[in-house]
Amino acid sequence: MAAPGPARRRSPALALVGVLLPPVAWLCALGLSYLVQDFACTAYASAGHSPPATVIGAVVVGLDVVLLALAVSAGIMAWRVHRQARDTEPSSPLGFLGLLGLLLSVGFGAGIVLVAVNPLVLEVCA
Amino acid sequence: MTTTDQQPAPTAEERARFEEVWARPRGWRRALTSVQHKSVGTRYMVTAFVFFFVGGLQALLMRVQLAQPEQQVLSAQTYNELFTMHGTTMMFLFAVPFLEGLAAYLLPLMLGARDMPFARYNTFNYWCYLLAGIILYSSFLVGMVPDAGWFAYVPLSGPEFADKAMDIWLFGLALAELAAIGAAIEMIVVVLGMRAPGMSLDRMPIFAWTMLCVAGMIILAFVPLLVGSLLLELDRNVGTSFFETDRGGDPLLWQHLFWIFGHPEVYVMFLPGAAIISHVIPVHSRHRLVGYPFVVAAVVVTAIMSLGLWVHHMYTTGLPPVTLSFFTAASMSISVASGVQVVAWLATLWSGRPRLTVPMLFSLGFLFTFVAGGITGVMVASAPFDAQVHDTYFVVAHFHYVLIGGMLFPVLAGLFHWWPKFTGRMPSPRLGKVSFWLAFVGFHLTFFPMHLTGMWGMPRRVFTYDAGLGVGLLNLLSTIGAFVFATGLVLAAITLVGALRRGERSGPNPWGADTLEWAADSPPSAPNFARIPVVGSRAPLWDPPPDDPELDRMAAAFDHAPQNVRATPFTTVLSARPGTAAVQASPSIWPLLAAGGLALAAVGLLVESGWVVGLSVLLIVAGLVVWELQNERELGAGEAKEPVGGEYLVEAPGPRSPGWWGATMAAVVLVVAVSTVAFSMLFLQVNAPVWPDGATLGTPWLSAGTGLALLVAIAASWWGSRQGPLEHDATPVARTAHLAAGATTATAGTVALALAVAQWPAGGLDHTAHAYDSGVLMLVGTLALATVLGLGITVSALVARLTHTRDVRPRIMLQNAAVLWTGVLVVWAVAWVATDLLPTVVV
Ligand code: HEM
Ligand SMILES: [Cu+2]
Repeated sequence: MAAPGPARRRSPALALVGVLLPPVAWLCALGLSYLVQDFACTAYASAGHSPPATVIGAVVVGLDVVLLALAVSAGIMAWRVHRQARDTEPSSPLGFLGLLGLLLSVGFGAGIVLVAVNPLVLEVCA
Repeated sequence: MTTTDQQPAPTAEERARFEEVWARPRGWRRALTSVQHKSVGTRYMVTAFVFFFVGGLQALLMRVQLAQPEQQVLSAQTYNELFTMHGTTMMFLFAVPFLEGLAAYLLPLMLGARDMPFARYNTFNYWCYLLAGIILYSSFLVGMVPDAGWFAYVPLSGPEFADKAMDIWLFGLALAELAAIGAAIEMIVVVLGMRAPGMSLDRMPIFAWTMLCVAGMIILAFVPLLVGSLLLELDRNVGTSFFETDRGGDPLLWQHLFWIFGHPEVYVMFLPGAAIISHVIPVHSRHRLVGYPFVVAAVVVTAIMSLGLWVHHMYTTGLPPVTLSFFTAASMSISVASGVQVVAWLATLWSGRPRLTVPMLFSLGFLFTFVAGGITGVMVASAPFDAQVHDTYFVVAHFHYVLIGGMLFPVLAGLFHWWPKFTGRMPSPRLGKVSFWLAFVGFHLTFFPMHLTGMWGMPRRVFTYDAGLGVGLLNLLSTIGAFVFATGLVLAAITLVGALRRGERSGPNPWGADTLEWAADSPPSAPNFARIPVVGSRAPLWDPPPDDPELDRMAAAFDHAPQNVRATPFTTVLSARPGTAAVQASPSIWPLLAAGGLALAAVGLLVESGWVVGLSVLLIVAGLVVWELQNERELGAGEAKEPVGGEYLVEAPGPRSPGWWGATMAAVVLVVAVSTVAFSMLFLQVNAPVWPDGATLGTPWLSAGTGLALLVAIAASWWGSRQGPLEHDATPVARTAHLAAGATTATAGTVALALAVAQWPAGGLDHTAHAYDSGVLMLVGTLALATVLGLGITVSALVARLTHTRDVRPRIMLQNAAVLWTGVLVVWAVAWVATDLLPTVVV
C-alpha cells in the first residue's frame, strides 16, 4: 500500500460531512421554519400587532433554500468521495459512505422541498 | 488451522484458564450477580414478556366490557385505570425493554464481540427497569392506579386532578427512561467500537445499523420525557408552575415534551422490528438483502425525521395551519422512507427462493399488516381527516396496526428465528404455524372493525357506548378476535417454551444464515467466541474469509486469550481495523445495590419519608463506590500482563477505549437535558400572556465564577491526562502530577458546585411565583447535578491513581473527566443563556 496522500487522508472527513450534513440541514429547515413562523406570528399577535406575513414567509423560504443548497452540495461531495474510493480502493468503506451521503442528500433534500412549499401555498400567519 | 503469524496455538492449560475467567456464576449468585450480555438480555426479554401478558390481560378485560353496548362489567374508573396501565405497560415495560434485551443479547454476537462494553452498567439498567415495573404495578397493591392515559395530559395529571397514583406513574416512568437511556449508550459504544476485525461500517448487519440509529433517537427523545416528568413532578409536589396558566406555565408544554418522545418512540419500536425482518427475509429466502445501502439510508432518514414529527399529535390543539403543514410534509417524507424498505424486502423475496418457515410467515404477516397500518397512517397524518377521527377508535385501530404489525409480529418472527441460537433447540414448526394463523386472523378480526366503529363515531377511552350507535356487532367481533389473538400468542409461547425440553437439537446454524451470531455455539458459550472471527464481507458465513494478515494477527492474539481477565478486541470506527483490548466486566452485585438505592429513593419520595430517602442516598453512594473499586481492580489485572498478544494495549487514551465513549455520551445526555429545559422556558416565554418584564437571574458574578471554576476543572484534568508515559513497560513517573491534577479538578469542581447552588438564594427568586422562577430553579438544579457527576468521575480518577501503579489508567480517567467537565461547561453556558440572555433579547 502506498503512503496515504493528502487527498486520501481528507476523504474520511469529507465522507462524514457528506453523511451528516443533509440530516442536519433538514432538521434545521423543519425546526427553523417552525420556530420563525410560529414564534414570529405568536409574538406579534400577543403584542397586539398584525404580523408582516409576507416578510415572515419570505424569511422561511429563504432559509429553506439556503439549507437545501447545503444538503445538495453535501450530496455532490459525497458522490465525489464515492467515485474516488471506488476507483482507488474498492475495499474501503468510503465508497459506501459516499453512496450513503448521496442517498441521504436526496432524501433530506426532498424533505426540505416539502417543508418549503408550505409557506408558498398557505397563508403564513392564519 | 495454519496462520502466518508466530502466535502458537493455545495450550490445553491456557484454554482451561480462559474458560475459568469467563465462567458463569452458579446458583443464587447467577441470578443476582451475572452481568454477561446473554444473561442480561434474557432477563430483559423474559421480564418484558411477562409484562406483555399482563398488559394483554388488561386488554382482554377491556374487550369483555366493550363486547356489548351499555354493559357494566367494569366501572368507568376501572376502565380508565385499565387503558392507562395497558398503554403504559405495552409502551414502557414491554416494547422498548424487549428490544433493548434483544439488542443486548444479539449485538455482541452479531458483531463478533464477547460482551457489551460496560456490562455492569448494562445490568444496572436492567435492574432499574425491573424496579420501575414493580413500582408501577405496586399501584394496584396500594389501590392507587394511574388513570390519566398513557400520555398523562396536564391538567388531568396535574396537582388538582390526580392523586398519588400519578406520582407512582411518574417515578416508575422516570426509572424506566433512565434504563432506556443507559441501554442506548451501551448500544452506541458496542456498535461503534467493538466490531470484529474487518467489519467496516459497510459490512455491518442491518440490525446493528438500526440499533445505532435507534440509540441516537433514544438519547434525543427520551431525555426530554425524563425532563418533562421531572417538571410535572415538581409542579405536583414542590409548587412550581411549568404547566399552570395563571403563573406563566402552559399545559401544551407537557404535550410537546411528551410527543417529542412519543412519536419517535413509535419508530424506536418499528425500526428494530424492520431490522429483524431485514435479517429473517434474506436468510429464509437464501438471498442477500437487496439494496443494502438504500435500506441503511432509509433507516437513517426515518430515525432522524421521526424526531421532527411530534407536532402531528397536536393537530387539534389549535396550532396554526402552516405550522401543521410543515409536519405533515415531514410525515409524508417518512412514509416514502418506509416504502423503500418494503421494496427492498419484496425484491429480496422475489430474487430468492423463499421457504415458508414460521419466521417467514410472521414476516409476511408483518408486511401485510404494516402496509395497511401505513395507509391509515397517511390518512391520520392529513390534518383534516385527523380532525374527523381524532380520539375515535379509528386511531386505536391505526396505532395497533402499526405497533402490533410493526413490532410484535417482527418480534415473534425474530423469536422463532433466533430461538435455536438462544436455546440450541428448534421450536415445532407445526405448532408455530398454527399459532401464527391464530394470531394473524385474530389480530385482524380484532382491529379491522375498529376502523369502522371509529368512523361511525365511537370515541376512544370511553368505557361503554350507546346501543343506538349501531356498533354492537362490530364490537362483538373485536372481542371475539381479541380472544383468538390471545390464544395464538399463548400457543406461540407454549411452542417456544416447550421446545426447551422437547425441541430437536439445532446445531450452530440450522437456517444456513449469514451473520456472525450463527458462527457461535447454540446456545453460545460464555465468551461467545473463543477465537474472534474476522470479517471480509457483509455475509461472513456465506463468503470465504478475508486474506488479511493484520486481521488474522488480532484473531490469533485473542484466541482463548487473554486468560487473566475478560477482554475483547476494540477496533476503529470506520474500518474496524485492530486497535486495543477492551476489558470486560466480571460478575458483580453492586449494580443491583445502586439500582435498588434509586428505586428506594423513589419509594421514599412517594411515602414522603426523609429517613428512607437518606438511606437510599447512602445505598446509591455505597453501591457506586464499591462498583468503581471493583472496576479498577479488574483493570489493574488486565494491565498487569503484557499487551494482549504482545501487540494490543489494554485500553489507550481517546476513542480507542470504551471509557472515552462513555464519558462523551454522558456529556451529550447532560447537554440534551439542559437544552430541553432551556427550550421549555423559551416556549413558555413566547406563549405566556404574562411574563415578568425583563426578568433575569441577575447574579453575574456567581455565574461567571461558576464558569471560571469549570474551566479550571477542565484545564487541570486535561493537563493531568497528558502526564506520564503510555507504553506498557515504561516506569511510571506521573503519580504526583496525577494526584495534583485530580485534587485541583475536584477542588475547582466543588467551588463550581457551591457557586452554582448559591445563585439560587442570591437571585432572590420564588419558584412558586412564576414559571420563569420555576425554570431558573430547574436550570440551577440541572447544573448542580451535572457538576456532581463531574465530581464523581474526578473522584474515580483519583481512585484509579491510588489503585494503579502504571500511569496509563489514571491518564485515561483524567481524560474522561476532562470530557465530562466540558459537557458540564456547555450545560452552564446553556443555563446562563436561558436564565439571563433570552429574557432580555426575546420580545
Ligand atoms: C393483545 C392485544 C391487544 C388488544 C386486544 C388491545 C386492545 C386495546 C384496547 C381495547 C385499548 C383501549 C382503547 C380505548 O378505550 O381507548 C387499547 C389501548 C392502547 N393499546 Fe392496546 N391492545 C393490544 C395490544 C397492544 C400492544 C401490543 C400495544 C403496544 C405495543 C398496545 C398499545 C396500546 C396503547 C398505547 C393504548 C392507548 C392507551 C391510552 O389510551 O392511554 N396495545 N388497546
Ligand atoms: Cu406520531
